[in-house]
Amino acid sequence: MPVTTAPPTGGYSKIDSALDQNKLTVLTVILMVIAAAAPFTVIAGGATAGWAVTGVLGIPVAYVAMAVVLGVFSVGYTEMSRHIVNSGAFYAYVAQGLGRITGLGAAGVAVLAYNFMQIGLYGGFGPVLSGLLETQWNIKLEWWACAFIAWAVIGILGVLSIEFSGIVLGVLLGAEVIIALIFSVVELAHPAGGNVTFDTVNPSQLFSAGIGAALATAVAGFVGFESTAVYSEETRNAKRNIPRATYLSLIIIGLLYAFCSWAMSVAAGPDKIVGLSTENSSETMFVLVSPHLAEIWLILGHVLFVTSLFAALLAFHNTAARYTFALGRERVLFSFFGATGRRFRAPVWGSLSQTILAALVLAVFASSKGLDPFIHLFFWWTVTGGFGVLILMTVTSVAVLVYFLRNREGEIAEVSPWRRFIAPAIGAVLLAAVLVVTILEFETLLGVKPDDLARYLFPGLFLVVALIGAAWAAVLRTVNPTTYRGIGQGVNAALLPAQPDDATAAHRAR
Amino acid sequence: MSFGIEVRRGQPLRCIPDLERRIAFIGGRLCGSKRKGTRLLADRRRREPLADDFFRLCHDDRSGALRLSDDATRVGLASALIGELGWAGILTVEDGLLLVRSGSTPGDSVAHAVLDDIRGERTPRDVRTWLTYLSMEAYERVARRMVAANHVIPQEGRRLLRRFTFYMPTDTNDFVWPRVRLGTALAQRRPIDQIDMHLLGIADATGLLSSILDGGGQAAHAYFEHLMQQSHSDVQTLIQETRVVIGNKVMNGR
Repeated sequence: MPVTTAPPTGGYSKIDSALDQNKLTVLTVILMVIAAAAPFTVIAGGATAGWAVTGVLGIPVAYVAMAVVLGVFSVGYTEMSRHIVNSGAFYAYVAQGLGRITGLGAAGVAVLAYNFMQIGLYGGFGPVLSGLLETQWNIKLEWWACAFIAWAVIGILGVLSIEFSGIVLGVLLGAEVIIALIFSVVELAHPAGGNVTFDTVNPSQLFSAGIGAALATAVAGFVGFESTAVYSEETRNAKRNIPRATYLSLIIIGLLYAFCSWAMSVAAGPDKIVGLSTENSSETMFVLVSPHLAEIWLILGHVLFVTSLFAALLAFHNTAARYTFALGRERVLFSFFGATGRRFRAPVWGSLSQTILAALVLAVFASSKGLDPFIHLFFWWTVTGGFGVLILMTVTSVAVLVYFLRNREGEIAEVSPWRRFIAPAIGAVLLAAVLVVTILEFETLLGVKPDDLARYLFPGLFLVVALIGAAWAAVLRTVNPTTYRGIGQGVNAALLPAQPDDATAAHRAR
Repeated sequence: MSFGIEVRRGQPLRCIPDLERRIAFIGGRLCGSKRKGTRLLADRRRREPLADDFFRLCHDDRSGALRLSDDATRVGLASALIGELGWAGILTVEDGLLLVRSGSTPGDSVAHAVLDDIRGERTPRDVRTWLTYLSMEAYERVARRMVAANHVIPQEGRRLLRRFTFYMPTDTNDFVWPRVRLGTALAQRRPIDQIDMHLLGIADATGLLSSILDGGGQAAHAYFEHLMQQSHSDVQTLIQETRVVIGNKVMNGR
């Protein structure tokens, strides 16, 4: 490597250009984010299960509405990512805006939500792979056996820190999107009763009963988009590109979800889509196109359904493991959670603990006969995960607003009021509205009776972990102030004692 | 051509004056002896550059296989290269920024190249940026120095269909020495000098410490923590930044 001895004359530095070479492009960030959202899974699994369980017609329009709400939320959220660099985005922002006690409560919600999301996906993966193996190769394997195969592979990939490369994700996602669009076009070409109807995308659906359940179903489909902020330090020209990647991801998946689910309702007929989904669950989309397409397309669709689920399983496994890792680094959890693997760069204990938790849940579902994996694991658990992320986003919106109200000096003063105050405020109101409606309609979301235990248990769990987190933070404040100060700092917590303005550090240095 | 190891043989280590005082102070408090006491272990063999010793720690002394993840090795070596210049009194850390302290030039070409990179920047950059940047070439740079000093011989290995270069130690005893020196000192609670504490700190940040503690158990770890808390603040900052850079790689998955 050539060595320069004279100071550079240009304004651009050698190390900046070298570091930029290694950074992510907008496209890679979008690919990683959309892979976690798993479009094919949402269309073929989420939307159909949504119709089947909630019985609410307006799921396609709910996707559009949620994309808009999340877009408004993203304005303040991505603005925050420019000022606070932290890979554990949500709870770090909450800790900065609303204090460490609320922050640790949010961390508890985040860990629970991403675990719900990940474990729920096994309930989709198992039945879909099992069905594919049986119909194509006549291999009879129980759904839970298929789920455990995925579980083992995910467990190993997790501790070895192996992820899909941008190219693999790009090819898989490209194929998923193309197949989903082909299916949709075929569906639109063969509408039920010969008429293309717009009932399911009619905005008036947003004011119908059960819309809270539909919106919560939609939120679950978008979970994953929020990780753009996690890559803020790793992205080329992050200031411009992180917001761009976030909005583009939302637009792409929002339109795709709405279009494809609408097409399904057109092919089935708006009056029959709920019944058809109840009857066929994850096969609904394939049942609709099978009379009009060669079998190879259906096989390809099923294979991509499986790969899409797997990519999402791995993405959410890593997210959950990294949250635990960050909390370990803060020493909020046992510090061994913050240890990395020696031979492989992985959050070993974060990953292992998630794997163990998933195994326990899978074992319960495998051994109980009355529970349907697709409804009671896949749909219930992923929408509950989505509900957790909805709580996080609502609290984060408020936190962003409070943060910008408190900090108006320096660079921040130049940011437009829309990004600092107006958008976060509107976002907070909209998200809070969705949150309230969802809580009120949780029994519709789960498709149970109003007095069913599950209706209270699932949302109640988030309240419990939030309270535990907050209580733990309150304990740390008195018992261990150093750890308390590190809440919300993630891996940067290690740097705190070295701060020059810090009394403890000064004491130590002496 | 001369390399750092040859040049430094027999020469006293140049330290920042403030550091020397601290060494004397810690030496006195910890070991019941004056500054000489802290050099006890280090003097048994000649002082090797920090990065060379870290290179030894993260490879197997017999097979030359890497015992640590690629990322952690690179960041650890970058941290050690910055440390070498710090202990030579050339670099210092202030408010998280890496600053050039004196106009002197290091003796060996690798340290020279690193310093040129740092001096070449118009404005001072933070430690984290330098760790990330230097980690890109740290492994190749240190390996080149180890090869030139005949501590290792590059060899070609095969894994599946890929060929790769690994570095076979020429002298196993020489290679295993840092691990033995540090492991024994921690296990027996013997005095450890500041540069070796720095090396241990990097080992801790990269996840290698447990393999060094080998057999020392909880007591050795407590002794390490005790010494680490009293090490120089620049060293502490550098090690914490190293830990953060590796932690960020885990968080981003890349």
